[in-house]
Amino acid sequence: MELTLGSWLLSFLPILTVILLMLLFKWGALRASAMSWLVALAVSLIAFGGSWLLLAWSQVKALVLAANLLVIVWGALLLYSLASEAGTLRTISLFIPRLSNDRSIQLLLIAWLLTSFLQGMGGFGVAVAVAAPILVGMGYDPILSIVMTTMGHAWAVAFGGMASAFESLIAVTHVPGMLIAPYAAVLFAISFVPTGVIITLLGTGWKGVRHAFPAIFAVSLTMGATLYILNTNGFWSLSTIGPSLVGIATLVLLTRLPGYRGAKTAILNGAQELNTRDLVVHLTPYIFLVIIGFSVALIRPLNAFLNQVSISLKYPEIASGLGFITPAESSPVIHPFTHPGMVLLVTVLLSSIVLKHEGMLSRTSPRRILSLTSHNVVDASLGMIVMAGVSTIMTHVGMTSTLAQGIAVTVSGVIYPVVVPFVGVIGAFLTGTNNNSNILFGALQAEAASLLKLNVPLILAAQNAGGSMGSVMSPTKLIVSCITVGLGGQEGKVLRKLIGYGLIPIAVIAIATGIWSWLLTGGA
Amino acid sequence: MSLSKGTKKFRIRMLILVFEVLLPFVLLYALNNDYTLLGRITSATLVLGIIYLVVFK
Repeated sequence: MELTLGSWLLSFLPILTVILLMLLFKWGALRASAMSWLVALAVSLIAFGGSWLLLAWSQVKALVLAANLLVIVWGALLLYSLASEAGTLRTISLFIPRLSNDRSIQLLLIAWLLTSFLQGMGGFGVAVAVAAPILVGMGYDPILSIVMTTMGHAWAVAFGGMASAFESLIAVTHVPGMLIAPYAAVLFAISFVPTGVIITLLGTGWKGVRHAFPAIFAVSLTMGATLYILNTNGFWSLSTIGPSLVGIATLVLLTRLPGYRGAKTAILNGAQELNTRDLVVHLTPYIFLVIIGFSVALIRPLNAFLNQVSISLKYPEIASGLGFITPAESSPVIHPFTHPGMVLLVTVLLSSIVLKHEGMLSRTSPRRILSLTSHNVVDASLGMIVMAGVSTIMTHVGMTSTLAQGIAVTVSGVIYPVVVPFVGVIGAFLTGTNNNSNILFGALQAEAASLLKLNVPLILAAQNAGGSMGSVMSPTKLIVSCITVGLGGQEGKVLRKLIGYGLIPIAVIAIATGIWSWLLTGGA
Repeated sequence: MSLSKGTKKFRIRMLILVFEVLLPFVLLYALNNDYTLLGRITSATLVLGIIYLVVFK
């Protein structure tokens, strides 16, 4: 379809539908996504030459897309149910004050650094599913807990899950990763301080920010330096786990300073004091998650052995009635035995054995865990499938392409770098992942940057950053997050709170990209 | 025996989930083999499932 203002607005309509329904009318993510699906279908059939055959193929592709993520979500919710049943979450919320009784330090540790580390380990939904209930257990408001943990790991998506999103960007643009990675490191590093400040502000107010700012600055500095060193040396698959661990180590060291020192308080479980062994037993699920996740990802022979099994489907060429062609392609390759969903499943099985042996699970516990999980996964699964359906319908009739082309054609070379991260945000908001945002818009961003004579690696780094930060605000991820703190169906309320704060680090990255691009092009 | 509202909602959504997973494949099969009636019924059910999610929150 020809690019006009009308076609662009029609292409934007499904996205606008979700945003307006969730923000203004406080609809839940599932309901708003379903409405968006109907709008996307109607627009595609009426204005973009959609057909029922095209709908069928787009929905099959959406299912495959969603299945890859749903396995992780099911695993994360199962782990959450197990931890909840065994009382692990409560114990962790009692344990944190032992490290430091400083509220802002506790907050930074859980909402920023633990979530970032977990994002590096588990990916989709795991970070918030683990950390948000801990914050609720520590007395924080459930909505604030989701907002803080969501913002805390927003940067970590880009290089989490073995940097799969970044690898996709390299694959679709054919721009070497070594050229993009340094820019990506700097753009994320710039966002660290605002992220830390906002989390502390939300949890402890301005007084807490003033008190914690030296710690935020120190952690940002060490994390940023680690990220830059790893990226510039080609180790971007470790660029989430590495900086997170360095950040945790920095913060733990800072708790030894008089200003941030914690009081050594006893951890009481009921009336009994917990000893170190009991504590380790309570932490079993997370210890297993780290050990298994690390082993699968970093022990090369084991990784190669498990990766021998892979699944990929082949799709035919699909043409819309107006001649928009989606070429024949293969689905992303899935390695079932190294998939984060499998890591979570094995973690749950092994942890259950240990926890049952230690008497923390009763005979009726498995039934309660499965019941809680099954009730939670239905809405999460429906939401993800429906939103993936919106994205694939839009892609197959050319609506997504129209959206991106409209931005690339109308925006000038000076302004374009500032807009780039927001395009990444739209892609990720729509599809739920940074990976899919990069696949959708990566090639187009590279082409537009080249036409406008901009620095292509910088523009791609900004697209990656926007995708990373936008994905955590997507309706599909919010469904999972809300379930874990008992806010199922209230995703609209959370998004209202999240979007204002969440856009601040993105705006910082956008402005930095604009200035950097202007400097690189000689101020032209 | 009457079911609670929560259980009913859960079961209906589970049914819709099963429909949304299976029907695209049935639709593809029907359209590729010119089974027009099956295609129409399948596509209508697929859309009705989504409409249910919008109407009954």
